[in-house]
Amino acid sequence: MNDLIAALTVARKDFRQELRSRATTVATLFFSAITLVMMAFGLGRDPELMRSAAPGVLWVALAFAGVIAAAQSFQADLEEGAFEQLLLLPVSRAAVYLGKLAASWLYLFVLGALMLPIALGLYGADAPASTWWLLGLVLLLGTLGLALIATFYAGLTANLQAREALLPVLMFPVIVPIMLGAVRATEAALMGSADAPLALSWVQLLGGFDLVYLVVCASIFHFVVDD
Amino acid sequence: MSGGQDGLAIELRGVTRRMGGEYVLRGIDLEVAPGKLVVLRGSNGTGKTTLLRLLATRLRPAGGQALVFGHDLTREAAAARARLGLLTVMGGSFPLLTGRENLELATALTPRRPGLPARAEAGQAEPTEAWKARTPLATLGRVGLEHGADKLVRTYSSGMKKRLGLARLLLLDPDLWLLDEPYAALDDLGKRLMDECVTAAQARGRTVFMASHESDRDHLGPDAVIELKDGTLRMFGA
Repeated sequence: MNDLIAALTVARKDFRQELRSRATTVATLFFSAITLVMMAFGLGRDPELMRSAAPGVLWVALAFAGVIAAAQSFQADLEEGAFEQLLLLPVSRAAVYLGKLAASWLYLFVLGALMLPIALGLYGADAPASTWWLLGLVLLLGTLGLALIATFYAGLTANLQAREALLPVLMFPVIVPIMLGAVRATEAALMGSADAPLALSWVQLLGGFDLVYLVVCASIFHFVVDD
Repeated sequence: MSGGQDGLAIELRGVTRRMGGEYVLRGIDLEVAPGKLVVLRGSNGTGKTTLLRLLATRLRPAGGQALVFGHDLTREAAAARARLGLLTVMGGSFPLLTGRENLELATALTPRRPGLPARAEAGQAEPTEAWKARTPLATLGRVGLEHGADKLVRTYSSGMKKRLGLARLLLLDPDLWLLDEPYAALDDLGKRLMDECVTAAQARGRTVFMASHESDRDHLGPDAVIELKDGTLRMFGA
């Protein structure tokens, strides 16, 4: 069985389930929007403070959304022993992980693309047209990093009773490099073309961590889902 | 139950397994030759499901050696999985997919077994009749679920979910059928259907290992009936 085809099959299944339940969409969309609004209230009326906080608030909102999306993805599978049945098929654990990762990543990326303009508008920040491509790249790699870790730890905690509490506790320390890279790269991209080289150096860091996490998580996912 | 040392469908040697700190399986020895039907009995909580999940590679033995068709369930779990299928009590289908989609997912993730009909013979543009009989829709028809093929599984009754699990087994037709309480939630018609499918599977040379409380299914003529009690197996009847 070609692992790539198997991964795409699993991803398609996750998409199909989400399109039908819309549980993750509703939860993450409202949660992210509310986080952005609440943080705006909390930061006060200083326009400069608001502008500088925009990248950080955006990525914190996406990180929490990543937790919700990944946990929900496994929760839907665990009902009635369906995930166990999936694992009984002769399909590699790496393919299962990559499939669920692909679904979570695309979902988070679309969510990020929706939240980015809202965050910029709400916090009075401006994104120069010359660096839109850079913001897109940061969003792509940043959401990949979040999805990589969230999917892995959601699988690890899926069968635990305290999974809702454990997932963020386990996940957030590990995503620090991703958050750092994504926030700094977004800040630099919002400064315009002059800071594009700085943004690109953070993007390289993001890409590097993504690659490491991808290889490690896919390689050891069988320890997570098998006895 | 033994069919010789080579080519046993199931071979367990001193298999132990703990659940929640207590030994549920205490040195299980078992040999099942290919093509045999073995019924496993035992009271609730004696470890029948644990033994089935262990055979299905979902649980690792704490001790001893477990082989399915010669594949060690610890070291060669993937190879063993390619030759077995497990029907769980709940059926094990995705509630937010339709019955047909559940079967399509299973077939998409399972390589075509040697000996199964190809979609089209060489030179033929149309699918063969044998292939058509093995499509998800045709298989759903065989278990009486044609009317529910495009309904979400979450709208199914418990019996329909069990039938869908049976349809998955029929479609994939593994060499070893592991059935956990296959008659639970089924009506009389469903129980007869299960009987027919088990008998037909055995006639095709499949090995069937079934945990069941249904003592009135003895007309299936099992090759052996064994009982799991206090973590060990004993011959119950044949």
